[in-house]
Amino acid sequence: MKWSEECKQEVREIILGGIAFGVLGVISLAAAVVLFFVETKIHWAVAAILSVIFLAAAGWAFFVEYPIDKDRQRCALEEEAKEEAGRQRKHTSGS
Amino acid sequence: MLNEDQRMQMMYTGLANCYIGERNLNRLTSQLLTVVNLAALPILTASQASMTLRYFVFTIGVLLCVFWFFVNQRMRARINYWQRCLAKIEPKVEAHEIPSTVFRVFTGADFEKSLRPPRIYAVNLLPWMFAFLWVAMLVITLFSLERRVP
Repeated sequence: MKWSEECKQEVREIILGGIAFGVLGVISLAAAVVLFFVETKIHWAVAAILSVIFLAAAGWAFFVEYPIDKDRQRCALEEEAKEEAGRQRKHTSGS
Repeated sequence: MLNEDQRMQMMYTGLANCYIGERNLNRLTSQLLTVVNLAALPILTASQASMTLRYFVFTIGVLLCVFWFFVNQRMRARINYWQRCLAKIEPKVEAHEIPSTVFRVFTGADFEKSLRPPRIYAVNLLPWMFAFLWVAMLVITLFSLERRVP
């Protein structure tokens, strides 16, 4: 597997992770709102804490991890393009 | 003074050590967090535990799973980096060459086969599995407690 493909896989995984965390965060936030109005127990506070954790994780995935992975993918593509150009030059000078 | 071959050999050994170290660290972290999660999960079902303790443990457990996911991501990026460095040192596959005639460890068809998903990503699924377990266990505990209360 090429390095750029590995980077692409990492980018895909962080996007999927971010989306999953975001979905979980929205679900728990909705649950917290519903529980706040329906019940008087502590349940809504737990759901609210959970939504904060998941939404923070989604934010971290999209705003911290994603740019790093994307940058790494760009570097990989540039490096592979350079290697390919070098190989082509070698091939044409050899023939 | 080292000649080019000796220098490459030393670099290869050093990079291989870094690669092995990173992989071991990744496995060790996964093992440790698996043990921590498995040890803390029964607290949710313990009859003596108060609701506050259950909620606290649940929150910490979910937080650990989120942390675990990001740690895995970073570690895999570093493992890939060391692997790529090692692959660069190894002899390149030439168009006219029969691949099996040159000995390679970190490049070639056999190595790529070992990196194919889902085997390589199995460890990354553990945090999701445990996060699901935490939520499922809490929901089951809450329902069973409500049924018990008259």
